[in-house]
Amino acid sequence: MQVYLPIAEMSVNVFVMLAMGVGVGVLSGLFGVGGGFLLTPMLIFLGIPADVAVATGANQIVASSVSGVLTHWRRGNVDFRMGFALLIGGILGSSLGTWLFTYLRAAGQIDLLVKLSYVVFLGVIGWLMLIESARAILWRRRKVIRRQHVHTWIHRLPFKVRFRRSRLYISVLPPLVVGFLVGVLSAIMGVGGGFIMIPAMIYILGMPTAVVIGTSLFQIIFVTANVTILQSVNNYSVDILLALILIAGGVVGAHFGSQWGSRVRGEYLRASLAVLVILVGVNLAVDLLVEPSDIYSLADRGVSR
Amino acid sequence: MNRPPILAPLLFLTWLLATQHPVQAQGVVADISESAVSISTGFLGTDLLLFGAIEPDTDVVVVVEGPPEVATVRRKDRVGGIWMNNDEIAFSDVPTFYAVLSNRPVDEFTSDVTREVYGIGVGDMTLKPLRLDDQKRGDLSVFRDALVRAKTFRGLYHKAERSVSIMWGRLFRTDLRIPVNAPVGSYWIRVFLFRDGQIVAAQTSVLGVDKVGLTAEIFDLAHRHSLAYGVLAVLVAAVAGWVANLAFRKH
Repeated sequence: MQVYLPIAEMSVNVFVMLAMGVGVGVLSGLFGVGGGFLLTPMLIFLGIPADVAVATGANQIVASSVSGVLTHWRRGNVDFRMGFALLIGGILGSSLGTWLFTYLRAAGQIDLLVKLSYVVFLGVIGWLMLIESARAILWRRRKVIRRQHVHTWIHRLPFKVRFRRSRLYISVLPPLVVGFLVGVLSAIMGVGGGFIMIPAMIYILGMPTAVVIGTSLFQIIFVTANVTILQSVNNYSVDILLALILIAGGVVGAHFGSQWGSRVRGEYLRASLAVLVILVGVNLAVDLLVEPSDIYSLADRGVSR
Repeated sequence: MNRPPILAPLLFLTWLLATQHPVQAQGVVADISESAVSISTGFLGTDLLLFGAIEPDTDVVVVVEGPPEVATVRRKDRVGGIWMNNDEIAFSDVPTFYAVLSNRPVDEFTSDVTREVYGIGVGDMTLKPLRLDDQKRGDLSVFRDALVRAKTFRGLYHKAERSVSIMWGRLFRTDLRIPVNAPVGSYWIRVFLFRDGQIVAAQTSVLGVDKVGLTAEIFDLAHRHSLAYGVLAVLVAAVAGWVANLAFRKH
């Protein structure tokens, strides 16, 4: 069944879009990431204009993070104070990111920026995850004890705040900066940024793993909501109909994903996610390195109009 | 949508020609199967039937032009190993849609000058750069060709040299494909009759392509009240997420 998308101005097969929503939902349920990093490139691959893909992807992530955060909230796994610190940075960062997006779109460099960000971040994070999970699989017996109170330069920063749920007493600056940087990326890449935020929370901020996903989801809601609104105002690129189809598929997929996820060993899950992340990154890298079949291209509608 | 500015002088010429041949007043009478195309949620593109009466022993050329836009063509170059957009030319008054339909190849019975003056033929359109200094560029035609190539690839530019059929020398008919990605606005349809390489009659009509129903409402809201639309999109998504969470919680 074909449906005409009012903003993307093209006709898509509802079932293909639903299936994509389900697929991304399953991944997000399995791995606890938003799945935006897969959804946005896949939408672009299916011919949705890049600006619409990025903005609509952000809109879809609002729904999946609301759904996810409620579950974590009931289990008491959301550090709201940390979430607020991250999201203040996130709102600022995503506003700058959207501005950058609008500017570079007019300059014709937005595809390059989106692809480069994907290649760099998916590549780096994929490798780190792969190495980490491979270690975990190989040395499963040896329990690595992560010390909670290693004092680094981060602990010497001013404006210390007590984050009770995270059992941390650190400066508010690192969460602000992390939130800011992830916010910029989230606006440019059309992702929630969970796949960057989660490692940053664990390794940079030193948060306990239990509250990481819930808190990350909490702040992602506001950052992606901000991106959705700003993209809508600046670029008119949010396709609400496409978002609804993706959301419908996504919530169903996320439900089953999280059920399957509890039956599979964590490190195998992380290893397969890592492989997936690297594959998406490599695919986009090839796009940038191989000579395109036509070096001339027509700018997407709306540019310099 | 406004009348395309490049059409204005052409229309005047057409009118002049029509009035200079009063004996051929009947000339050409053409009509379309639909007076408007409505893009609704189920739109997949549509085929229109263009038909009419002509004078005997004439060739028929139908030129269809969508609303004009500024179109930017970019060239990628390898910069530091990466293929990136490195150069661009913006063209003004580019028809968003362009189709030329005829009963036989137009260059068999028209001169280059005629085609250029009347803008007949995808390759004969005069696409002008937006910036004057781009006018002198040596590679202008390469960019121009790339524009036509990209539009053709998207199904927006179209040339069908034997698609007009003439019956009993007095009637013509042809199918006009409006693709799914057709831009909204006014489409100018010009029907030319040629005899011995000269235009003997012409008729212009307008076809409206518009979004209707839900599609139109969403599009209007997104463009006219973009802030409210963005907030609405967020609220809808948040409620959907909340409902989904409640629905699956019970299991």
